[in-house]
Amino acid sequence: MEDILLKEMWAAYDKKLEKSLALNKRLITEIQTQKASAALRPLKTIKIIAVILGIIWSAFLSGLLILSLKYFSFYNLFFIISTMAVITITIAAIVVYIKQIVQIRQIDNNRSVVDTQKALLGLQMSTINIVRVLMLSAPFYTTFYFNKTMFENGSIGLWVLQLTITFIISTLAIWFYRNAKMEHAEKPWFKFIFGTSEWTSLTRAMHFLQEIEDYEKE
Amino acid sequence: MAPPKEDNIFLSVIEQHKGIIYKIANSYCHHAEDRKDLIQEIIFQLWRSFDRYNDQYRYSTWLYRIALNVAISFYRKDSKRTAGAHELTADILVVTEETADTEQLQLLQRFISELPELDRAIMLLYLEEKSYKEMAEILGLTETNIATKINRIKGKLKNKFSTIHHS
Repeated sequence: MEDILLKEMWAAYDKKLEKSLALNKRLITEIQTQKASAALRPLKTIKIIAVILGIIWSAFLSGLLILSLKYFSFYNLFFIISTMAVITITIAAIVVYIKQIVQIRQIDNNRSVVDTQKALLGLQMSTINIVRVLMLSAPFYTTFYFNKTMFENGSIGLWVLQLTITFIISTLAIWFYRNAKMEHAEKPWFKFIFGTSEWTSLTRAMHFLQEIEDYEKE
Repeated sequence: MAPPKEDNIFLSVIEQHKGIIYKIANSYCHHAEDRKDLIQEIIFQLWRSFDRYNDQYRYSTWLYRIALNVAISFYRKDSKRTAGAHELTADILVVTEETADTEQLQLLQRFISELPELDRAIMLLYLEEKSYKEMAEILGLTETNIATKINRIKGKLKNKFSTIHHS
């Protein structure tokens, strides 16, 4: 297939489109009136909601923490440590979410394809990191309720069950933190955890990033 | 809201470049419903950034950047119906006169849609007879890089055509 033939074919396609393609001007006018109302994109809205919920959750836990510190005893040490860990991890996630909101605001389709796509891909990858970090808080949800009654009256059976749950969840959280990375994106468990649609989007993002890197290496 | 004059300029820019928008959407979307959503999203994003249009570049450069960025991002999403603009019931771009594509053209479109995303963008720009300089501005790659890639992609297409013809 000669170069000239490709271009001729494309020119014929152009000519055909010129004749047969019509613009629905009424719909363009409709889009022009939507500019203000649709300025907030769904992605940003979800992240803003996550930040607000995260702040409310952290504030609530902080209140409980202050009360526990005020009435400190050995038995509420577990609550204090667990709550502090959850607050710290939640705040770390809030910070990343805020950074992402700023990044979303800065993403501009008006910039070159490579620049814009790199920014979008970076954003997508950092979403996985938030999930990884948030998962680290899971074990602390299995320890915050250790109390005086449990220590004084808890049977061995109860403690075996409790510590088994804590151990399993801690192992899973650490495993997830260490393994939920893009280099494992092709593995079936990754697809299972992140869901088919998110997985497809992430793997395409990874391949595209690879494509951009290959281009830049040449 | 933009003044009416700006509205009209935008409309005429879209009218002038509707073929480009259609071809890009066609290359990145195989299904008619997705294509309709993509066209809507591209035009919506063009309108959103119209007041930031930098007249240092041509309208076509600005339009290609946005249309390709939106198409590539859209292609990456698995659940497509997340367009920023509101749902429109009808098509923005309507093919009024159905004329059958030649077999060669169908093959060319198929081969282009099988290329990786960035290669696809390069090939579209090449076939639209954009200069290397403009292609570099749109894509954010160097002219040398683009020249090397074009030769490789053309080679790939040539091979695909000859395989079809021989089989």
